[in-house]
Amino acid sequence: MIQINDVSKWYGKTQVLANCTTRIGEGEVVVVCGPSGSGKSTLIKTVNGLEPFDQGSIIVDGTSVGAPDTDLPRLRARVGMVFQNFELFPHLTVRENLALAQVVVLGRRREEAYARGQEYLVRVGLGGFADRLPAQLSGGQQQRVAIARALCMDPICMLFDEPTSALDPEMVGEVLDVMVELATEGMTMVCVTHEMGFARKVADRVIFMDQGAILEDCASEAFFGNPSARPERARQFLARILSH
Amino acid sequence: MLDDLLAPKYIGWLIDGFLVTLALSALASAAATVLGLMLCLARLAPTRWLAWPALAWLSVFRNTPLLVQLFFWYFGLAALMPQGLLEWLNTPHYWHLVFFDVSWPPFEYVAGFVGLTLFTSAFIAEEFRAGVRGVPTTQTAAARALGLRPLQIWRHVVIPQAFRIALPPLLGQYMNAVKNSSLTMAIGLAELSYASRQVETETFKTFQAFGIATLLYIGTVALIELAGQWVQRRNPTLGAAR
Amino acid sequence: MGSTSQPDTGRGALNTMDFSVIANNLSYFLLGAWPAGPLGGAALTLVLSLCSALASGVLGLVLGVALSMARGRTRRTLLLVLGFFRAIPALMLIFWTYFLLPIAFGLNVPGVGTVIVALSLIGGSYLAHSVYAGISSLPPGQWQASAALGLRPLQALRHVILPQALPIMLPSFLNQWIALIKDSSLAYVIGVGELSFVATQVSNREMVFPTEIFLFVALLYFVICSSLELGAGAIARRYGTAGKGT
Repeated sequence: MIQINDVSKWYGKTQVLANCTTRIGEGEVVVVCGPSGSGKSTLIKTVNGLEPFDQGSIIVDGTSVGAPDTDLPRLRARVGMVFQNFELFPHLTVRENLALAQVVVLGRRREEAYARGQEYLVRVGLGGFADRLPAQLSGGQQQRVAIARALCMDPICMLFDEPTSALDPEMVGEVLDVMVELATEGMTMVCVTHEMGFARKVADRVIFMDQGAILEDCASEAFFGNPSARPERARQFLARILSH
Repeated sequence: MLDDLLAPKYIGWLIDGFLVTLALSALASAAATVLGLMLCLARLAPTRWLAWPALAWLSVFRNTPLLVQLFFWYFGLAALMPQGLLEWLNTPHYWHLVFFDVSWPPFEYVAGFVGLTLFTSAFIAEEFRAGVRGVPTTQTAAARALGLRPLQIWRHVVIPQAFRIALPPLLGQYMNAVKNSSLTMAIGLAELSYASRQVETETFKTFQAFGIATLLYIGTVALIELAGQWVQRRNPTLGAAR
Repeated sequence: MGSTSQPDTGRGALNTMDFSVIANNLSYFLLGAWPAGPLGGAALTLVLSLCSALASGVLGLVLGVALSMARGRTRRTLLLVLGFFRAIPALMLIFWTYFLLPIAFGLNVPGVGTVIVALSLIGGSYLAHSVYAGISSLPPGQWQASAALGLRPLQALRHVILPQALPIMLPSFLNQWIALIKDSSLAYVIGVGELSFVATQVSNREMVFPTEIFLFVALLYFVICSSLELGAGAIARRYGTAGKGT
């Protein structure tokens, strides 16, 4: 469903993505990890065109992201994204947050949008929160609303950019539970995350990046089960991460 | 309109007017800076016998148009002055100093200078106040912890930093002074706008008369802006903390 | 080049001031010749400044949005144009519009219209920067989240960005209105009968009461501007805590 072919990107003279190539099939759950600055957030943002890239190509469900005549907003309406800082719209209630894109982008009627929103709100465990403002929610609750907001668009796949990194430890679990459930239901997911427990549980594949390049791209059992076969950098990373 | 250029005589009028504008703005800006600083300190004084009158003064000068203030100084104040003083102000005076002669300017220059200075000083005082507010209170705390007395803290810690923060907006006020000096034409001061009007009335070459004046104004303002940017590049500590 | 008539009647101390001239001409100060003639005085000042405030508000909004979305050469040109209107003295711009507008539109534009156009251009340029600052103060994540949901830039502006940015910018709009009240006095130079013009008219007619007249006129302006300033402060306080997000 997602094909990333030889993608490179430069910020001025610095190369932030170096010849990245990978494929993500339908229903696959792929975790992207690596030290900070490795380009993992940048890579995931190129998939829905939030970050342009200088070289290579990206095809999402048959649509080329980099082609000049591609209607990016229409593509983005089919690809869900969850951000590290939740990025709910603070001036709208939860219900309106969920409904906005449905009405404005998909053209659904307001009542239908509210109903769908309520459905997904219940699925993430926040059924009674429709009338609250984001400022009245905890971080974990906001992130779950953000996931619901993305799901309301009925996306073909979901991209997660460090969804739990900005959360206090006790709230990480509630968000990961929602993500695990999504994965088991068969959603195609690409997650940039440090949560190796999550990766172990649901990831089909793990991609390890360092300094803009994909160093490792293998099945998750192989990644976690056989660390000695992994490249040096990956092993160091794993050792540091798993020792917590 | 653009067929033939202005005769040198009229260009001379414009240049003279421009020089008056520059002199007026520069003098008023300098005076306004000093006065503005004093007003700011009065406004921030712990005693309300200083602070409240200062606040009232600043409010009045900021919330009334410069034009009305100029009219007041030119027409209104003159009517209040004792006859003797008024006569002295109206007759020309010359002093022969060692290197050059100084003459007392016509009354509109005095009124224009007074009006522009007082108006500008009110806004400069506000910029200084913002500058003082921009100095973190931890600075005062640290200075006190070192044993400095209040007056020393003001002199060595707060005012220098407030000045640094206020410098970019201060330059903005100087640019405003240049633009506002144009209002003195309403009381007959022969500065650049007045001159451009005169030239236009006599020659009907509107584009050239107004055009040259406009370019001179914009050039001056742009120069101050560029000077400010140059200074800020040399001293990155200037301006509010980002 | 000569100077205008110089005052040559000194009268001494304040206690000889006579404010009856104000009372006698009060309606002229406040309303001009209305209803027997065109609106003037303080009323015209208010109308002038209100029209200019609205026009510069709209202009500032459009240009500010343009500034936050433009790139490259368009952006540089826009910045130059805005810079021009912030660098030119308002007086010179009034001269220009007074001269150019009749040529552009072929008919005689009333002085009021000229002043409104000139002041709106200047006010709009200042507000454009305030609007841009307001929009830029929002976290870039809001743009990204809107885009990720499939919203196009104008949709994002309308539903997400501007609703959050406008309350932030409200004090700037109000301060601009206060500045416009003062700048409306410049209409004097092209003979528009607003408050300053009326003041000089009465003063020239009566000849002996300039102090009282200009003090009164200053008071009128002061009352108008201060009320707006207090109102702006109240609104800024009210919106200061609301509208903040996560």
